Amino acid sequence: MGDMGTLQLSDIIYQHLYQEACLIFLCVDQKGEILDVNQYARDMVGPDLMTKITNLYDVLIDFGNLPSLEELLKDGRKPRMLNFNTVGGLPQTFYFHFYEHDSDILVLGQQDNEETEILRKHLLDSNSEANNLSRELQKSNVQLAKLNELKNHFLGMAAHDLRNPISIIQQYSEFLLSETESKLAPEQLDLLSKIRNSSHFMLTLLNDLLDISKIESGKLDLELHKTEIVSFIEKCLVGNRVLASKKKIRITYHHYEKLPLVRIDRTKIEQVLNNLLSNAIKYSLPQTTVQVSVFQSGDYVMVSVKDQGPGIPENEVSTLFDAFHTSSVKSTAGEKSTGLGLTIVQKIVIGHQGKIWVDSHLGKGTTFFFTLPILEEDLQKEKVYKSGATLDIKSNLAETIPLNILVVDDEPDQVALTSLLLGQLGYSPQSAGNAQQALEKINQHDYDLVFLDIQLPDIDGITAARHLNQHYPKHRRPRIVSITGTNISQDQCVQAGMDGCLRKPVALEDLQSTIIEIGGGIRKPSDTPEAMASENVPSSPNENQSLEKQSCLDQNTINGFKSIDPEFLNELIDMFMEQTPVLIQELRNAIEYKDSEQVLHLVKQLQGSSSTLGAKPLAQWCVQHIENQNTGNSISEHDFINQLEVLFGQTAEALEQIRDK
Amino acid sequence: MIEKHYDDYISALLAGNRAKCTSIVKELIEQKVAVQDLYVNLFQTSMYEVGKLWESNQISVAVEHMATAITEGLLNLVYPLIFAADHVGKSAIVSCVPKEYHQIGAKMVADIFELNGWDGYFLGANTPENEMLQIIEEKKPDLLALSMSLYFSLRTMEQTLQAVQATFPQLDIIAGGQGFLWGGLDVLAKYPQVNYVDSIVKLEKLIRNG
Repeated sequence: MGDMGTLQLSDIIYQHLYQEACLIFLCVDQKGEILDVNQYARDMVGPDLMTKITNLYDVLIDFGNLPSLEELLKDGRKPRMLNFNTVGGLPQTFYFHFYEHDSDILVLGQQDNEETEILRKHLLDSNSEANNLSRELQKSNVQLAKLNELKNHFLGMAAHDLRNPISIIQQYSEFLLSETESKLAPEQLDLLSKIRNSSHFMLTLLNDLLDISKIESGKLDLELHKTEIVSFIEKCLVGNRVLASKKKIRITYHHYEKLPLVRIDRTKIEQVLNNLLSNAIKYSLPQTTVQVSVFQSGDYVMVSVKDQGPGIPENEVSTLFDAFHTSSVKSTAGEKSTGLGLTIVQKIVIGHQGKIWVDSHLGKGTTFFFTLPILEEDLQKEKVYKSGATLDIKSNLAETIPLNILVVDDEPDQVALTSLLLGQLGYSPQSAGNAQQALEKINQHDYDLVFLDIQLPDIDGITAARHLNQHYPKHRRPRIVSITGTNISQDQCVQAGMDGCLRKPVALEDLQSTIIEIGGGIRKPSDTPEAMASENVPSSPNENQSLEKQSCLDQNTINGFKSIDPEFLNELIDMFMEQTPVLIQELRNAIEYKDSEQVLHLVKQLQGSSSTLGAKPLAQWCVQHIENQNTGNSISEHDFINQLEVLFGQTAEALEQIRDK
Repeated sequence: MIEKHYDDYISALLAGNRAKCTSIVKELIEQKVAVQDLYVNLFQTSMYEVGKLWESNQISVAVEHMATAITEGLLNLVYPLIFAADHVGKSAIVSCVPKEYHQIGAKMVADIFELNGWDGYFLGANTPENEMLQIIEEKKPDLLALSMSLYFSLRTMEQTLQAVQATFPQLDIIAGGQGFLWGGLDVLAKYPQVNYVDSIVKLEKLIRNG
């Protein structure tokens, strides 16, 4: 081939390399600045190449060990594996050669086709395999569903067809026993009793099997009726009391006087109660008590059945509701169990949108709890009732919760009105007409509570609250509650470090509940003798502390429980004290795992149990958190749980005192 | 119904637009298009077209593989309909011969068995001979269906037929697949219990006639 031919060939090759070849071609200077690139490199890196991306090292991915151009050139003929950023987002590995040409450097990079092919084959194989497995899975799912349906059908048929002959055996043996009691020998009577008892047990088992097969076929047809639960349970207890009395077991019943209505299938919930009670009786010894309680917990009515039996071993609790579960615990009079009762009970409760669980302690006893949702319309009514509630006004509140109060408002009429209302609760508040005056007074006196107007002439209430928070540690500053006619939100008040927010016109009831709710959280600056001396509190420090603790609780609720049954109150307190630390720990875990749904669930649960016992600050803190979650204005989870623990500590101390009394 | 969507579907399939293909198939399922129609007039027709485009060098093997992968994924959308059929107590094992990697046709055959109330066990691509024999022993099917997509697999097909015949002489076998378009029916003719099935329509006829 002549010179002309050689020249043409190199031109062709260069043109091909420049325009068509799937090969990266870059020309760079000694500093790596890109001088020229081919079309493939442009396609790989994108339009920024040579405009924004101008240096070779901006295209290569640097894992911290990129060699210098000098090093790369040293052994230019040996392929160097380097990673290239591409416009598609995924980096690609190329094998590069570096050649020195005049004062420039030519960079040529290509991919390993064999490697790509292996990857493609693996991906295709994996895809096919995954699709085949998906097919198998879908086939198995359908087969299992069909088999389950068949099983239920068979179970239902078998149980139904066996029921009639067994009923006849049971009835005739019953008849024979009653008719021949005086005529037959004791051994014969014993045989007849065995026939009757066995047929009775078989009938129970068949009924349970029928129930299970119906429920599992999705045929839990609930006939829901609005029901007054307190009297409904009372009626259910009648028959069970007869059974219990045979074993000399007492059934007691504790309840609120009135509870909101629930919508239930009465036959099915009676079945639930009968099952839980018959279990309690089955595992209880004579002269013990089975206690049934019903109370409101948040949006649910909660029913519990507590026995003083042997308790359930911890390792059996998780399988307790499984079908044909057998327990190592023996019944006290040899009563038999089908192993299906609790499975049915659980399915019925879940069918009512409720929950069921068990709390058991070996040697102490077992408590089954289940919940039923309160009718939405009743909940609404209750909320309206609560918001417009007329509380008993306590003219001696100042004796129970002694506080130094400052009222800050620039309207003399408003100051006079608030002072008058506080006076009706036994307080003698001081006043300030603007923020500056208020801050000076707070500096000079130990106020426990400040009612602060938002629209003040000099500094607005929000700024004043922030100032107080910045200059006083929380335990040494007064609690701040805004009284405002503006449309400032509760969240804004909380963010400014306030403890509450009231709207004008303020009602006496609102002032009273605010003092009860947040007055209990107030810690007096009693850590110095001076502070002690300056406090004009008529009670001793111990008495004072006791009052503080007890104001964590709504005395009306506590007194209500006391009037119904003090023993029940003690049990509620025990339950609360036992379960709340567990719940708080679960809450911490949920926060750690960022499981916001579980956090919300647990906070609601805690709010429910706190409300039940009248632990208002604790319940209020939970409500606040839920509301904040909804509005997205939450404080940090860490702060939330820390304060929660503080409030629980205070509540627990107050409850201990009540329990001791 | 399928004709209306076919052009859009094949364009999306060749462009690798899985989402578009999925939405077309979902729509057809919602319109209650029969599964057989979907298999024959959408999946099979489009895959045959893809095959022809590859053979005529109009698309690369990479595009052909991509279209196959998308089609296999789309079959998952149809499974809830396929497996819901009442079963008649018969079963078929469907498999590709050893070294045969094109499995989609065979899988569709297994699905057609399911749709007609048979248990259609699908063993997948490149099933080793001893594994196939072992599963036949275990499942005791009424029928074995062997797929050959490439003519080059004819030799392996014959070896498989010999091995199956030696161990299970009574077992009925059907064979099919695009590979037979290039020949091989003379090989099948040597085995009296082997039937050649060239289409899904013929397969359904055979299943229904028991």
